[in-house]
Order: sequence, then structure tokens, then C-alpha cells
Amino acid sequence: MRGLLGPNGSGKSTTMKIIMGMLKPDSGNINVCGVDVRSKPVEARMHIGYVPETPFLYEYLSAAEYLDLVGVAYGLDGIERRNRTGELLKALQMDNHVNEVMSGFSQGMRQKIALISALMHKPEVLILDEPLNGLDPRSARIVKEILHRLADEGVSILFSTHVLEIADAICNKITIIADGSTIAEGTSKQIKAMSGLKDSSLEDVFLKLTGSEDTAKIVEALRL
Amino acid sequence: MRPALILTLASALFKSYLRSSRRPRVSFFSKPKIILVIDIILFTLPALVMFYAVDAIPPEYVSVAVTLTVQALISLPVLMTLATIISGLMFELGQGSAVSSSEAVNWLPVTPREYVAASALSTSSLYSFFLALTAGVTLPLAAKLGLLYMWPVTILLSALSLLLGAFIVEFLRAIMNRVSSTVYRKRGRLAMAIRLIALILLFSIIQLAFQPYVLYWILGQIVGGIQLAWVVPFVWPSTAIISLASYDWLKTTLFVSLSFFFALVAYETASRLRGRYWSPVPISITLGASSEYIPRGSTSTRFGFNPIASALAMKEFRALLRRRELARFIAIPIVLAVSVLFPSLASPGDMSGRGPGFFIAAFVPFLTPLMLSSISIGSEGNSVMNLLSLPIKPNELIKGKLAPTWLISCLSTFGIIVVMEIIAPLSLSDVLATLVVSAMAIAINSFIGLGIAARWPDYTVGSRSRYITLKGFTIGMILSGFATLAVYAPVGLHIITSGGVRGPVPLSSIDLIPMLIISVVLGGVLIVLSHIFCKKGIENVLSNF
Repeated sequence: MRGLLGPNGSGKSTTMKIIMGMLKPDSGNINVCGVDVRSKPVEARMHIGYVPETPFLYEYLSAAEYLDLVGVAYGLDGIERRNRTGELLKALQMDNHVNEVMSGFSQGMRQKIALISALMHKPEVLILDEPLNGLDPRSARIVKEILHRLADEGVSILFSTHVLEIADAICNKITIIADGSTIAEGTSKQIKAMSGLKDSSLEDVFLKLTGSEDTAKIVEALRL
Repeated sequence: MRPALILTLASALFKSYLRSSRRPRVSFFSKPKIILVIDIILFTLPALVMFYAVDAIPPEYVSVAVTLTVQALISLPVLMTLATIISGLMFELGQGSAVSSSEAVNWLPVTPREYVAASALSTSSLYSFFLALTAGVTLPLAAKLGLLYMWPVTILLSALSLLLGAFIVEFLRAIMNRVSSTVYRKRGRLAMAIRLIALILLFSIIQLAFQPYVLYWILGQIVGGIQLAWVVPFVWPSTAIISLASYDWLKTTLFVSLSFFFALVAYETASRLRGRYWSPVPISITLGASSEYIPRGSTSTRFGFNPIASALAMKEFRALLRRRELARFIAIPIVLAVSVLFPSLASPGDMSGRGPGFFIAAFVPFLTPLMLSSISIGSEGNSVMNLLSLPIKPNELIKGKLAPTWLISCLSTFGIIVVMEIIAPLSLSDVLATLVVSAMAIAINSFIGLGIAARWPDYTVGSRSRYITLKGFTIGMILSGFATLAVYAPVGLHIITSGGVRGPVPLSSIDLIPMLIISVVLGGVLIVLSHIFCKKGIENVLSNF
């Protein structure tokens, strides 16, 4: 499980969209499970589960109708869809809302449906753009547990978040990017050591590496 | 190609279209089955009526009926394609760019061919009522006038043309997305102006295309020109029907085959374009070279607007000019002007009186302020929270929200009065009186519009958003209709009785001045009442949200 960290506008979501084949890279190639994303984006997506930063689901479909569409797109038959989706809906306490039109859903409910649709086909790769946004503590805990289990089973997970404690706690490796370039990579320990802040929090390390460690001075200068 | 996925996706897109009327629950009326029921009704009822109506045609008119039916059958496929393209484009333009670029289908494993097939299927199903209706009308005519051999081929080719139109919409959609984002990134502010003008022109042309005069002319051109225009692939289905009418089996087979071939080519082209421009390009518009924030004052502070109202007014102007889905609203006055002026320009002989100009001019101050102000709350969408969390007073919000409405309505009203003055001149005093009552109507209707916008807003931002509930819109139309009538009626009475219409009038000439005074008094009262109505609505929005 790799955490992708970076300030706003650093290129985290763009990187993820490029991996999904939704944006074309200026140069280079990406392979997902041996499939070239640029030439075969649809084949590559069959191996991936994706949760976008702001999931725009089909507003006027019910959750069940939307999950049906996603399941059919991933080639799941009716029984597989019912079993997998049913379990996930229950786990995330969405089983009572399954026949509601999603236009009335809160941000957290939409996030849960997006997570279920990313997990329902047992993907080999998970691309999650701030997946815990809007989730209640119980659901967030369940999602973290699910991700741990999937990572143990060999699923590759790329996970972006601004909550550095979460990244520190659940990611095996961390990549920090700024202005579209990688500025640090490795385990949390390695990054801390590399930055010369061995005993500090990941937050301090992040702020140092991204050149924004002087936050106190900035606030002082604000004249609020 | 996975047929199950195509059907599921088509059904999902179709349901999204149907339910964008924002019903809170999934009811029978929001399921695709309803379209099938509507189609069956639209086929059966006209078929039954026409079955008996054909018998009533006098024998001397049978040959005329045969000619008209043949012409209708020939025109059907071309009209089907045109109608689908126009409706599809209107739908696409009414959709916010954020919605289309973040659609779930962009990250699902769906091939461009599957998407285009599903989207075209859902679009053509949506407009299938047109095919059902025309099939129902033409079947008894064809059966009883000896043209039954043409009917099945016509309906088959019309269905194909419907699908062809949907493929072309997909083709145009891919091009538009690409061109739009490329132009935006390269040319910033200028690109937005170009796009706004292009959208307004497009809406006006579409409106013009549905004018009865123009439609009649197009029909004549289709039938008259098809034999000459057989080189144009769009008319191949109609050329096949012409060949069938003259029992030329070889040509019929050739053009039917060519029609299917062209539909396949259109599908393939649309799929390739979708594949090429599959990835939605995020749009980042740069409006200035400087990276520094420079606060700017607003010129409107000089016109009795305090800084907050002025800032709100500028925000409203920018929203109207920059949001693609709002361009159709800014096109309203132009579309209205086109609608009311075209018949006058097409047959100026009917405009010999002075009255028509006055009454036609009344449409713009009635509908333009009402429609523009009625969307001004709902169009905020979720961001209304940002607005309402600011320390704004009701009067500031009213001024800020209505400033663009007032400006656009005044300019368009003045424009239409000038044009009407050229077509059907009024005396100077009558023109001045028209300007006075129009200004009052603009104020009243904008207050009513904002009042209903505050009471019945629809914050859903999606495809073809209305931004006001149907109930609110109906109430607004009724209130504004009566208010406009009340303000215009006295001056209108003067114009009618002083030679404004042709033929005798059962009243002697009524002077302008007393009538204008009545109009102004009524207008003044209505301005006060509508302002109270508006202010109460805005107060509720600001206090109870």
C-alpha cells in the first residue's frame, strides 16, 4: 500500500488519472498488470478499482442501478454482483439506501458507493484518491481494515490523502510529490531518516520536504 | 462489444435523462417502460383518428392527399435526423462541463464503441415518440391511399435516421469537448466571448429552424431538392423512398444499402473520435497574466449599488457569461426577438396596423426579466451556501441578483422597440409611452421572478437544469402574465382605438395621457407589491436556509 502525498495542486489526482488512462501523459508509458494503459485503457481498467477525488456518480440512478452498471462493466454475473455488493453494502451500512436515487446522498454516502464500486470486482490494483473523505469514523475504520486485508492478499493500492497520520499508520511505502515531481520515496522511516528528522512526525517531515515548514512565521505575518 | 453492457449503460443514461426532472423517488414515470407506453399511445391514437379521417377526404382532394402523403413519407427520415441532432445538441449544451468531464463512465472499463452504441441507443429511444407519432399518422394514410408498400420501408429508414442523428450527436459531442477545452486553454477571456456568441447564435438558429414559416420552407426544399442532392449522404434514406415511389427497385436497394452503410460509417467515426478524445481534459482558464491579486472596484457602485451589491452583480454577470449551461438563458431575449420578429419580417403585409408592434414588443419585457431572475437562486447550486453565509442584506442580494436581468432586459426591450418601429411605426408619443410601461414591466417581472426563485428554487445542477421548480415557474408565469397585461392594457387600449388595428373598433379614440397615467399608477402599485413579494422571499432564504 503506497501513500501518495503532496500539497494541493502537486499532481496527485493527475497522476492517478494518468494511471487510469483518463489523461494522456506528456511522455512515458504506464503498465498495469502488464497492460499498456495508453494503448489499451479499457483492458487496463479491468484490473483496477478507482475512487476519484469527487465521485460524480449518475445522480438520477439508484445505488442498486449504478452498482449494476459497474458490475456489468467489470463483467460480473448476477450472482457475483449480488454476493459481493451485498456484503460491501452491509459492511458500510448502505444496504438500507440501495434503492434510493443518489441525488439525495450525502458526500459520505456517495463515497461509500464509489468505494463499493471500486471493490466489487476484486481488482488487482486499487487507485484511491482521498477515499476516506466524508466517511464517518466507523466506516473509515472498516475501509482501512479492508485495505489492509487486500494489501495482505497481494492487491496493490495507491492511496492519496492529506491526513498524514493515516498515511503513516497504514501505508507500507510513501511517495511525496510537489509540482509534479517526486521529492521523497520509501517507507515512513526511510523518509524521516532521509530528511534528517528521524524522531519527528510525518507531518514535520512533509512540511520540511515541501518547503513549508515555516508555518508559524506565515501565520504571524498574516496580521489577523 | 458486450451487448449486455451496452443495454445496461443505455438504460442508465436513459434513466438519467428521464429523471433529470428531479423526482425524489423512483416511480413508474421515471422508468424506461413509460416511453414504450407513450410510444404505443402516440402510435395508436393518431392511427385511429386518421383511419376515420381519411374517409372524410372529398374525392376531388384524394390526389392532393396522395401527393402530400408521399411528400411526408419522403421527408420523414431527413426530419428524423435533423430533430435528433438539434435535440441532442440542446441537451449537450444544457449540461455543465464539470458534469460531462467527471462522468463515471470515463473510468469504467467501457470501450468507445460500447459507449457510443449505448449513448446513441438511449438518445434515439428518448426521441422515439416522434417516430411513433409519425408512424401512427402515416399508416392509415398510406393504407387507404394505396401507398402501403412505401410505409414499412419509410419507417425502417426513419428509425435508422433517428439512430444516424444520435451517432452524429456523439460525433459532435466529442469534437465540441475537445475544441472547447483547447480553445479555453489557449485564449482565455477571448475564447469565452467567442463561445458565448457561438452558443447564442446556435440557440437562435435552432429556434429559427422551428418557426412554422421556416419549417414549411425546409419541407419544400427537402422534397424539391432531394433528387438533386442525392450526393449528400443524409438524404440517402429519402432518396431510397423517392426511388420506391417510382418503383425503381434497383435504386431503392442501392440507396437503402447506402443508408445503412452511412449509419455504420457515422458510428465508426463517432467511436474513433470518442476513443481519441476519450480522456476529459481538465479546463484551467487563465484570465490575466499577473499572478498577483489586485482588488478591483466596480463601476456599478456609481449607479446606486453599494460595494456588496456591486460585487454580487459582477458575480452574476460572470456566471451568465462563463457558465456554458447558462448561455441558453442569456440567449432568451434573442430567441424571443427571433420568434416574434420572424413572422413579421416574413410577411410584412400583415403589419399594416401599429398595434401588433406594440404587443409584440411586450413579450420581451414580460419573459426576459421573468426567466433570467427566476433562475438566479437555483443556478447557485450547492455553492448557494457560500453566498448565504456572507453578511448580505436582502436589498443587496436583490440588487446584485437583478442587475444583469435589468441590463439585459432593458437592452433587448429597447432593441425590439427600435426594430418594431421600423417594421410597424408608432408615433413618438406612443413609443415613449411604450418605453415607460416596458421599464415598469421589467421591474415588476424581475421582482416576481426573483420572488418565485427564492420560494421554489431547484438547486440541482445537472443536465438541462431548470433551477426553478415547475410549480414556481407556473406561478411566476401566471403572476407576471397578469401584471404585464395590467400595465400594458391601458396604453394598448389607446393604441387599438387610435388606428392600431385594421378594421372597425367598437370604441372611439381614447387619449394617450389618461391611459398612460392609469398604466403608470397600476405599474407603480405593482412594483411596490412585487418588491414586497420579492423581499419576503429573499428574507426567508437568508434567514431559514
